Amino acid sequence: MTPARIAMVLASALALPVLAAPRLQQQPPPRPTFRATADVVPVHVSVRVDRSMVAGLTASDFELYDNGVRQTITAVSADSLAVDVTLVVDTSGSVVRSSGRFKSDVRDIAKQLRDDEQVRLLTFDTELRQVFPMQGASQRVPVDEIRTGDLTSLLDAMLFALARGPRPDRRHLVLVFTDGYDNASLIGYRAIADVASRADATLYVVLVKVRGVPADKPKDIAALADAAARTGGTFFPPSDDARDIPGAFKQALDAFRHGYVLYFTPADVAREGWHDLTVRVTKSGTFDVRARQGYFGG
Amino acid sequence: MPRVRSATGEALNRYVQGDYAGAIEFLQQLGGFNVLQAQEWIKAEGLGAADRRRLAAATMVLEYTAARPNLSPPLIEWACEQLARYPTPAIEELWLRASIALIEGRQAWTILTGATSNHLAHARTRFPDNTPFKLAEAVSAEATADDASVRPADRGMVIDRLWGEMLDQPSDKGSKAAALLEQAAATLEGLVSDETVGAEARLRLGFIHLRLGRREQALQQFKQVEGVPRDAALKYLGLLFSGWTLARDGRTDEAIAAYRAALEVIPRARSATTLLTMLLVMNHKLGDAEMVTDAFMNAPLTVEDPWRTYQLGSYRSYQGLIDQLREAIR
Repeated sequence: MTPARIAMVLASALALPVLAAPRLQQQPPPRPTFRATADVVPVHVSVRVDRSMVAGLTASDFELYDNGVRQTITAVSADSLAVDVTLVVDTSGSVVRSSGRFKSDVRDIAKQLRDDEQVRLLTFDTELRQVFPMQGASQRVPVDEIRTGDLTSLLDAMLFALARGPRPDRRHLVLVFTDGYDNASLIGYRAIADVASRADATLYVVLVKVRGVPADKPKDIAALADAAARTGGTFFPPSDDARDIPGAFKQALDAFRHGYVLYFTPADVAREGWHDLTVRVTKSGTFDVRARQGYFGG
Repeated sequence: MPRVRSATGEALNRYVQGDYAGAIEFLQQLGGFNVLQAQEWIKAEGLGAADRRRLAAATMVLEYTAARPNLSPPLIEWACEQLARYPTPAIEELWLRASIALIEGRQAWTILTGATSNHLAHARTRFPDNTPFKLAEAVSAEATADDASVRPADRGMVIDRLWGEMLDQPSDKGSKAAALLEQAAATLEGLVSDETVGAEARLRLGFIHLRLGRREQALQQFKQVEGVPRDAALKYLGLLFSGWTLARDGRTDEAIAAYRAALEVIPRARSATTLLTMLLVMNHKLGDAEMVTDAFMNAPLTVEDPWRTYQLGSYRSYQGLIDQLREAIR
């Protein structure tokens, strides 16, 4: 995502929940106006102590560095932002063993979202399918079109899910359920982290099960974990237990909701190219801070 | 019509009467194709009908083995022998083309050019000037190069492959692959002017140049394929590979234009959609990328993507060849 792109989108918006949120802490709330030249970069951040999410932080509790240069930030509780969820689910048979069970899982997932939030479902096997497009979570989820297939196009499906333009008032959560195996994509494991770096989404990858497949599997799995990390998302390693998809979704959604979005306008750094981002919590204590590792300016 | 009381004979009767699917299903239910029963059936109506019956049996063998999980080399060899003395060489040639298309479709290269079974060498001996058979030799060499260099798990991950995983930094396996690709290129050079297979030979030659890092030569070949008016699949692939080559050269805008042109030839084809999306995302054009994936995802039907069949040689012509054989049996 480029700052210029974000600026353009923000400039076209009038009253946005994203920008209203800081005003919860700073009274009174003037109606914001923006110049088209402003370059605003959003950074999604989650903060944990041990395994618990940390709530209640404000802008003054964070330090943010863009290519090593400290920036002035505004912290917003992400919970105030609506979430658009793209579910990306392997229907090649290794993850979805029963389509009946999976249909009911998708309905359960939609119920976990607020009325103002949206969900879409992409499935992948030999083919990529959009079972239903982004739609309000309160709408009936049309799961009858779910199909299964033989091969696995995991990486192409991730690309299609992540290829979504930014919406200034919404956050995009891409949640992938997979065994990590791919034998039918055009793009490869080495490319997916680069795609994730450029996406305006936070990527969660839930590894459902690892089959006895090639010896270099750990490298491929590491690429998926890297892709998630680059977006500030989380990689859930394989579990011996059968994964409960709605349960895993709830876990990911909770982590996502209890995060923050830090906004800043880059200052004293070159505009073009890759920008390394570092985010710290200034309060005393040991915090596990997860944020996207950088962005491309242009 | 006198009937031979055998499962294979009964299936062949159904087959010559035009119940093609029923014949194959019947055979599968009753234990499979029996060569001895087939020979009895061929002889059952005397010498006058034997040629037509040999053609029917040989053609049904192709359809029968195509319906099974694995091709049967001995059965294909038996069928091939049935047509070796066929009075109309064009029919034998037609059957050989269909059999090669089927074998390519299954990527069963050991049947086509292997040490123990070399169906293609037989076809080349029978019809030395047949250009589709020469093209099949190049396809086989190109495909075997894939086998030599690409891990099974990476099949299809062409971006990784073409981003220099092997050929720009050749390993031992990569060198072997490069040698096979050069061998295929030499065969293709001799076919580019052929009326029947020239356009496809150019396309494949260009793709080999691309894989070997000779991008300008690749683009020259693709440019000429784009002018092919008749074959949408070849035209699409020429544009797709042009986009690929240009992207690799950092000529992003030209590459995007080539991918978009490919999608005008075959809208919503997955390979161009994927590569265009990738290029747009990598160049920070997320909104444009979203429009491209939306057009793909919102379409109700899956579009046949020529890239998938590119790796299967002449398989895309298999059904057409079978239809011609069925016609010849009538």
